[in-house]
Amino acid sequence: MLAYIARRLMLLPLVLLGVTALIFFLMQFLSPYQLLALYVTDITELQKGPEYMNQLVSKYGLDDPPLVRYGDWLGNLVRGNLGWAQSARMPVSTAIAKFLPSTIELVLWSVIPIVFGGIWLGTIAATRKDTLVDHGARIGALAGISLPGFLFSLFLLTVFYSKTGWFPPGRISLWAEKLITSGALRQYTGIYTVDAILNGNGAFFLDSLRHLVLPCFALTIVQWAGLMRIMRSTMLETLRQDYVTTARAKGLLERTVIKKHARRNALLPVITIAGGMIARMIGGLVVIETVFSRKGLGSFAMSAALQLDFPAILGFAVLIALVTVTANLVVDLLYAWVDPRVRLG
Amino acid sequence: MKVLKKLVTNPLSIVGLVILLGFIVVALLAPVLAPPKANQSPYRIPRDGWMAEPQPPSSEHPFGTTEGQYDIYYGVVWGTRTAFRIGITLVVVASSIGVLIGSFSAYFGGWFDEIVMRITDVFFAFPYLVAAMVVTTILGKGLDRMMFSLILFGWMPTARLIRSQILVLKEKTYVEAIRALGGGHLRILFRHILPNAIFPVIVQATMAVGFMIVLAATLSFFGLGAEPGYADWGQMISRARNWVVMPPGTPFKYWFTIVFPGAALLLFSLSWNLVGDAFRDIYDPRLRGR
Repeated sequence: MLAYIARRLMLLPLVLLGVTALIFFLMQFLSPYQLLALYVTDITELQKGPEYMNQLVSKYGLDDPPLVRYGDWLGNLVRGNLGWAQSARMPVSTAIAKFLPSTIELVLWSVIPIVFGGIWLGTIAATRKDTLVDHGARIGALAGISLPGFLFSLFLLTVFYSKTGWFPPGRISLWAEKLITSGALRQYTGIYTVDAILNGNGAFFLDSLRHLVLPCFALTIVQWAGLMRIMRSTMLETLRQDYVTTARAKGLLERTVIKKHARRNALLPVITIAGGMIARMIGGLVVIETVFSRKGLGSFAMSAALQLDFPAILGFAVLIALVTVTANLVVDLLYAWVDPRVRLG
Repeated sequence: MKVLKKLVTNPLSIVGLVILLGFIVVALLAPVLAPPKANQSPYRIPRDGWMAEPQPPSSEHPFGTTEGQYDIYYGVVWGTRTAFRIGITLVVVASSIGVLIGSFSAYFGGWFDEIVMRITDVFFAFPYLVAAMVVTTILGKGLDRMMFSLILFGWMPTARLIRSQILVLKEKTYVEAIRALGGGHLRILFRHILPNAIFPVIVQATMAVGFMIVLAATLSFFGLGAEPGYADWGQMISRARNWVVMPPGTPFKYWFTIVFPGAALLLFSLSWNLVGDAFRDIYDPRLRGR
């Protein structure tokens, strides 16, 4: 087990290096002026005018050989200097720190419905195979993976906001926003639902929850489709195994057979796709945050892309790649821990 | 053949094939169904005026007009061609690259395989949408740049798939036999191993078309893909956005701006997924859990 962990951990920096190298390579297609924006953190330097460009170029070492530049850029990355984000009018790292809590809040409130709902639905569909429930779930899942996230979000907004006014876009209402800007509500984490609890403000909590309903629902439905299908097929595979027949022959309750024996083993292949799901969820986050007008990392990245803000989008890419690689590593380690065949074979 | 028979007996597969066939017919007959304006690219949707407010369906505009008076019917019909162009080009090119990389990597093995797999991991570290956004930001907006970015980050799943197939196949006895008979590497790979390994790739490619189209539509919706006025479903839905969400109380007034392109997109993606599912069932019913 330790050898497996050690091997994976040794490969991790290599992959991260490769990721940064790929981004750096893509960066080379930018013009020198655009590249400069990636290094300066003080906007006034960029505004001095083209005559100063040569000074800036030599100051930030942009005429050095590529490997030296790569090393410098990596050094900057490690120190947290990601450049200046024009679309947000603040340094990239500041922007990321500012928008992170909103995204975390959305993920936090979606993860549990996604995971438990998807697993539960897949199990139900498998155990009631070929019944109406199964067919309904499978058709629903097929529709779910065919449905574009942005289209579904627009539909939800039309019906539940424009028509009924129940669930508005954005993170909080105006009156709640005033609470924050005036300082009446102390921000401990930046995650509004958590802050509301910490401040003991029930109305604020309910308001931010109200704004979370549609985005979470949209995110969940899209992820459920994929998860449910895999869960169903692995569950069916597991239920055909001999040990399940043995368990039933022993007279165990069907409920016990499913919960204590079949489902655990069916979950194994599902863990392997969890890594891919995280990547898909990040894509989904970008879409949903933008459509629902929530100021988070996703919408920040989207507005950066639309305004051709290279430092912002590249900083975002580095961060996301880091998250994805780490998540995949955690998932792989988890799988190795759960399934001894992997680490021993 | 067995494949065709199974394809047409599964009810869901029939539905998928019928819908797909419908789209193919529409795409082929596009110049007849929606004659393009002269002296203009057929992919530019004709505008009937300059008013912003979308007009409901009428005899002149069967599906109505969207913001800026772009004819929705024309957009949906020629958008079908765009969808096929984008989907098939993306999948064929990305899959071909993936097959080449994956098969060479698997066949020659050793440290070459290790390195190629690590490079694949590096590309996999970026969620598809994010990667496409990054490349489009650097290269600029536009349909071809978007397609380039989608191909650049779309070859990996195929590479992994064909690699896993070939790793198994290259150990088979018949390969050893051909080598003994004096067959060269390329001959073995392309004439003997690849044809046996290719079917899962076809399954994956079929499902990928639907997925790629949705991703391309998403990018176009946000403005990173097709230009305004281009016959692309995602583009048309982005024009509908302000009219469907904003007006308080009467959002359904402009239903036609989103329903027609949205339904086209949904049905297109659904049909490819159904057909892909059917292919997968033929290849390995066990995968479906039957």
